[in-house]
Amino acid sequence: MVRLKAFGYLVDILGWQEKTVAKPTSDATVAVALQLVVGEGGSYEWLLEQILKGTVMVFVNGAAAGLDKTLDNDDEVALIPLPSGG
Amino acid sequence: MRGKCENPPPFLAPECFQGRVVEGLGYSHVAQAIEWLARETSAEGSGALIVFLGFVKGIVEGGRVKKLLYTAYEPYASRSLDEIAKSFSSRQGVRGLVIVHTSGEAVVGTPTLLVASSCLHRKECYEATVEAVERVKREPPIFKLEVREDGEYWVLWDGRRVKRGERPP
Repeated sequence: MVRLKAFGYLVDILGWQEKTVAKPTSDATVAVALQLVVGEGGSYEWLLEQILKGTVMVFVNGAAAGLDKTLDNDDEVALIPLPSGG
Repeated sequence: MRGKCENPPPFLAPECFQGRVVEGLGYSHVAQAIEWLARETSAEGSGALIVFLGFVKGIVEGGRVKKLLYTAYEPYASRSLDEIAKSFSSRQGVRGLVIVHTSGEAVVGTPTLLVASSCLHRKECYEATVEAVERVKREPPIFKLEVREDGEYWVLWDGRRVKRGERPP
């Protein structure tokens, strides 16, 4: 199982804060996990666009990662908008 | 020469350079941190702290603010704050730097971010504190929801607001 976490405004847009998903294949990537959780359609395409233009970052186990990163069981994928602390 | 900073208040570690998230940061935390840093670094020749204190403003975009809700992706937010603070440990003249960022609910007037640097000379402290504040606003995974009389708004990385539930432009 892979755990996905959303932060900031993504929680409201995606409708969830945390989800778990089973890896469909041994070489499943971040993109595949997002597709399974977010689903096809508007939100998924919009999310991909934000990731590709850098306004949403993907972290796997605390380290920045790309959509093509292969996931292991028990990995944690975080979807992080550009921060707004302070 | 770098000394030790011992006997910290309960929410800090015995380190002269450190950063962390503290839920419900309050003025007692701020006072304790400032007093402790001054006391522990004075033995190494420091004679001043330069302190930045962010607190919740009551009016934004003409709307009255009720409170802010901060969420942090832990433990990575605290690690990032700590990395920022420790990056100053070899800076000439800087004897200590502490960063504490709130999480959870913060009402108007309450502190949200403390950055305090202790230095041999004030010029080094001005520079260190300002630089640390700018990095805190850009780097740690911390997010801010503004609860106002006219609605709830996520504060974006560039200062723009987006109404809750809407996609950023």
